[in-house]
Amino acid sequence: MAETPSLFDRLAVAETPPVAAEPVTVVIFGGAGDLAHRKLLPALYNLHLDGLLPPRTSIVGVGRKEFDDNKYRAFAKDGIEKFSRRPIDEHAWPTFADTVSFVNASIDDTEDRALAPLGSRLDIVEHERGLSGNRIYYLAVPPALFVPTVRQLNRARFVPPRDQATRDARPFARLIVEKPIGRDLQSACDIDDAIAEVFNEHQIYRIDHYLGKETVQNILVLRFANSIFEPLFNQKYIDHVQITVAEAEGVGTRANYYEQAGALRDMVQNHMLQLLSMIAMEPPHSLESDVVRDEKLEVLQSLRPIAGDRVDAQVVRGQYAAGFDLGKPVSGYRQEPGVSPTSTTETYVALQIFIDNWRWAGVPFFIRTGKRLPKRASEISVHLKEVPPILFNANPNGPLDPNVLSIRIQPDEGFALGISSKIPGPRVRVYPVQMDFHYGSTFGGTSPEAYERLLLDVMVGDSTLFMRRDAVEAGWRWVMPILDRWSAQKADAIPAYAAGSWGPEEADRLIESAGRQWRAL
Amino acid sequence: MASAVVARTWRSTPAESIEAGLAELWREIGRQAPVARAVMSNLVIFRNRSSAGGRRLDSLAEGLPIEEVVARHPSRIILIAHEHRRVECEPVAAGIGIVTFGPPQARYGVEQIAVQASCADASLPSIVRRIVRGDVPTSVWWAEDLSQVPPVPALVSMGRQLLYDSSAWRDVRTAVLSLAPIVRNRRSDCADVNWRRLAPVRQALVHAAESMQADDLRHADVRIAHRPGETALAWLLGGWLAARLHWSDAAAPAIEEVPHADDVLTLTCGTDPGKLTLTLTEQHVAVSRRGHPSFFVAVPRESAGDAVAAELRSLARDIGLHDTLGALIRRFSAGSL
Repeated sequence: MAETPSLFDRLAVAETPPVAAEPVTVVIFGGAGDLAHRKLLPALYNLHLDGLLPPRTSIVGVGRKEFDDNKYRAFAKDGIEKFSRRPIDEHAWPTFADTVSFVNASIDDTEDRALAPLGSRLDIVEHERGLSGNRIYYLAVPPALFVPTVRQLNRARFVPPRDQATRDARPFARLIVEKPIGRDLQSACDIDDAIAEVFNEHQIYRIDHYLGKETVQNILVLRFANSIFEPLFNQKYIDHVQITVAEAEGVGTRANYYEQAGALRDMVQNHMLQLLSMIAMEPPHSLESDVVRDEKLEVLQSLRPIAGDRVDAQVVRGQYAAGFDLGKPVSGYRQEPGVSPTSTTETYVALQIFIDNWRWAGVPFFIRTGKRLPKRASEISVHLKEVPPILFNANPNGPLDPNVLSIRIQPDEGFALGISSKIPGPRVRVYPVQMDFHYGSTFGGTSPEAYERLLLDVMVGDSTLFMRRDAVEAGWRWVMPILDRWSAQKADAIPAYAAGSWGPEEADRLIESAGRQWRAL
Repeated sequence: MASAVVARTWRSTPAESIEAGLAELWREIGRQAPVARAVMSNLVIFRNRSSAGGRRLDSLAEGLPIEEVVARHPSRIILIAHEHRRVECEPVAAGIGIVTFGPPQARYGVEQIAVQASCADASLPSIVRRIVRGDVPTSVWWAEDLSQVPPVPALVSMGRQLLYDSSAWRDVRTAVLSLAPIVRNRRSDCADVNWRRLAPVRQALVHAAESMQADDLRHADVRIAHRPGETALAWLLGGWLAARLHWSDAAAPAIEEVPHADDVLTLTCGTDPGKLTLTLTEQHVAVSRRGHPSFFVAVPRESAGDAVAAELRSLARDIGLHDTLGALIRRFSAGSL
């Protein structure tokens, strides 16, 4: 006899399931810090406004500050007022504030009961709210505290033993780790190894907020939901690809970190290689997170190594010198507070990269990123090959602009396709025009912040937009020969570029020697 | 937050010159500054001429959040102010306009067409067909109370979607029965802005049901109390429960209006007040059950424009709403309120 459907099964028919349904406690280590203040609490608040937080959700900040719950709620409200994409809604605020609490605790690797106050509070909160013990631990703390915090979680028995923590096991424990993960391959492996003693890989979410941006997510839709583009995405039709992540700001208050990192570690090893892998990956056979991430990893594993003297030919580094920002004089990197006056840390890097697979054989990918460039702009541009030099392209003095598909990641998210069109009139004159799509004007409203999407994904257990250990390590493995070469060169100085310019002349020569030019942004 | 309106231009035009007039308007606006034409769909808005009053063409849309909607979902607006006549005749007046949004470097414009028509219902499609764009989807927004002005099937069938707001219904039974042909032939999808307000209620009930038994929600036990003006919302909730729990056509929960109530609606189950109580306010849905921790589901903050735009973007049939309407049609066909 057929079993009678449960009440839940009956009511849930044809209902759009909530994006995240399982009640959860979000524990933010570094809960009183800058990241929580500027990004995490505003993101959680916006999820609340959109009705996307699962019922009963609880948010517990953990930190050294002497906050009680009310002070922490005021701290959260202040962050939301200053940094949220939507203002405080006084009607919605009380329900959200009720979910927020704070525990004063400090992470000390040697102290056995460092997290005891947190344990007591979680017991109370979860009992009061009828929570089953699902927890997300967010490490919004300096990298040096990643491993101590994870060890404390283990010592306090907050995490089920690894052999019991299967994907479907409930209650679940998930860990979110912010970048940077290590400063080289060895240190990244050390951190990953230490975390892996406590958490299985499927429980670990290595966050790269770039991957949460709408336009980045749209790369896969653009490529695999439109039959017009995918047939062209290969060495037959694509001349080259450029990826630019430009920042107008200088090092600001991050000198301590940046002096140890530099542009290659800070931007290329993670963000830019992730963008590269999304624009170059093969179509996955499904959208399951590991299937997508397998295809991205394939790209990273197909990158042609740049080692030895190839580094000098294919990689340009630079450091900003004094210059101007919108007409205002600004100091050079070595004059910034906290920076060594003899620093050789690169604030700019440009690379010529090849992907040695069937699809992309021989197609150069040019990547550049830097600080104190003329504007804040991130873009991927796919440059198609020129049409033959006949018909409308017969004049060698006025060749047609090749078609370019540009994907703007920030600001003004969207994409554009540059095409040639006839100017109205009796003569045949061809002019490049843009078919331009702007997220803002097409879909209106403000897109969710990357952290909103990513936090929600962790609640759901979808790790597609997070970096898997093998991808992080593949990234490091590929950049290590470049770092090693630079380290061996012991340069007293590296090419300088004026603040407010588009980088050192060497970067122009890098791309011009390959017969191309940097795209104007 | 959507872009603010930067400028509006408007002029009257002969009905046969609508397209030419719009092209001329675009040229004029483009001479002042670059502007992109934004259109993701046709949005045909139906108003009764009597409710539109003696308004001028450029103010027929008063009371509707049209600019807020098109700022979020740019659409060619086709506003039909109709007065039923037995004889077929041509539109009596037409007007065209362009509303522009966005900053100077990313300005975009949306077309608006208003037509005052006094003709037979059957001739309405010939007007609309002339002015819709064929390369984008068409939605029909019935801006009237369906219980007073029933939908014109020939017009509704031109759209993939019939959008309406049941909160305006003065007579739920008449309005629901007016939708019966549309629900039955399934050529157009129904989209009810008021139904969206029930989403957190349904989410909360589904969540609560995880720990409830199959017969915990019997129709005889369920009582829905609502504040004045929320009759349709209460019936939609009752209809949804009837559809999902396979209640018989004659069975219905007790629905009653509570004068001076603050809460939007309250659902209780059984005579035992602790068994299940669900309360919808403007801010949240609160659910309490004896022996279980109470919980809240936040009500998403959205304006009328947000809600309409969200419905226009939805290209999939809302099975839940169709099943609910089906249950209510059966109920109202079988008996009376």
